Amino acid sequence: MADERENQDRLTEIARLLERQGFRCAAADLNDIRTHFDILQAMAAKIEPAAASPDFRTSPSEGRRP
Amino acid sequence: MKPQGVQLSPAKLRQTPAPSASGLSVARDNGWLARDMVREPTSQSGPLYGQSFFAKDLFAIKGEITRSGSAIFDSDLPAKADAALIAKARSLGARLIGTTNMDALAYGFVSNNPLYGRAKNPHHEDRICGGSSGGSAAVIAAGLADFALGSDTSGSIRVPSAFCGVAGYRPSAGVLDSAGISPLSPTFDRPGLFARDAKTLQKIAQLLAEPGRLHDTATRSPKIGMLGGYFMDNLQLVIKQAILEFAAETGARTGLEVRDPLAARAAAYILVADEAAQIFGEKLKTHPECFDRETRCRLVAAALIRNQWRKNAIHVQHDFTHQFNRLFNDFDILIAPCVAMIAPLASQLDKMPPAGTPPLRASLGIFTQPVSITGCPVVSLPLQTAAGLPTAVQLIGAVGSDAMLLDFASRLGR
Repeated sequence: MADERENQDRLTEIARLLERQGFRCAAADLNDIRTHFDILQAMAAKIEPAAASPDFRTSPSEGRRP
Repeated sequence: MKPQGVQLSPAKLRQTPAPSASGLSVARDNGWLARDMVREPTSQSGPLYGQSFFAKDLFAIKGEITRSGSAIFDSDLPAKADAALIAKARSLGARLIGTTNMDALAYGFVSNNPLYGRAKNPHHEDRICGGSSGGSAAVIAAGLADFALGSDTSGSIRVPSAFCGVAGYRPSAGVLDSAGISPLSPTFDRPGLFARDAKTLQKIAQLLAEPGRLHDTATRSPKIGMLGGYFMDNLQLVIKQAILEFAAETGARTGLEVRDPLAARAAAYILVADEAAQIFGEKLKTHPECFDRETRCRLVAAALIRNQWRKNAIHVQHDFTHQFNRLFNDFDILIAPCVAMIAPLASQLDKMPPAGTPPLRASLGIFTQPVSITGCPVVSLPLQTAAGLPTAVQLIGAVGSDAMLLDFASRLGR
């Protein structure tokens, strides 16, 4: 029951964000949009620690270019 | 493991003289064709006279609507001119036979298209031929043309090159003219080529390249390194064996590692999605019904990418590029697999994976996506596997080293 409520809240939040950007989304699309958004969010989570690493360079300019 | 139920024989198909009506019929029956639109050469004496080619459905052809495998452009005006590469190939004597099947808007690795159907793998019709340039790779594997034009944003030449067993080329930016190609993600989109072997690929690339961009190189014995770690983990044994044999054959130094390849792959995923959402954003708002549902949902979700994700992804892209450039201080060519598996069965794609496992569809580009964000040129060379189906190895060079890469690949005789 709590899961169902959480899922519905998430879909509502996504629909609100999209509407604010001017998208008219069919209700039937929302579940799939959420699935794809979850994948993007998981990808973003994989980047976050790497991007915060002090080892990281911010410019690609070094190294040999023929 | 020997694949079962092989229905099509590329060797047999190669006997079909291209570009005959029966060749087009084979292409249509197997889902490789988008549209047949023969265009005769504009020169009768060029170096490509007598040769034929196909072009992915996203290249502009004068008088035709450029569809990019989607209905969203159906109300657009026809193109006023051929795409630059098509015009050049025709001016050198080549004959265009038709456009090839692809993932809608070049956003995918499967070539199962809402307008044209699923492109069947020429080695096994129940398997996918990869994407998004799947139709172009398949017609070459079947011997229906001398070369084919494709495009590669995240692996769209390299993945089908592996699944269909043909040579492919993703150039450095600017080597091949991209004018007249429908975009997905302009920063990472590259026009590219397929041919049945690396020698043909080199010849066609030299003829179609911008002047001075594929000049001769003196690197006759390039130093080769093989990317390990992420790039050699989690792949099928038959693929691993084929790559290791290739590494031994070329004297590659093994075990090179790059930091955070998973983050680089994720960065590629986000950056391409973000650009695609910007390219198609307006159309998604005004005419969402013109998109197929799958593509529409992916692109709308990408419109929600946050600024911080984008900044982090660019940060990772720069670092990963820097790491590759450092490796190119010691090596001329880096090798890595194109894909982690032999061409999967189409029926496997939409099965729910076990908990905690990513969907198969999302795993097809894991070795090509991180390489794409470095901007490096890549030649994908076909290899045979013990499973009886092909794969391919990525030969990755420093930006601008395209001539050396193509020359090396050509001399290997594959």
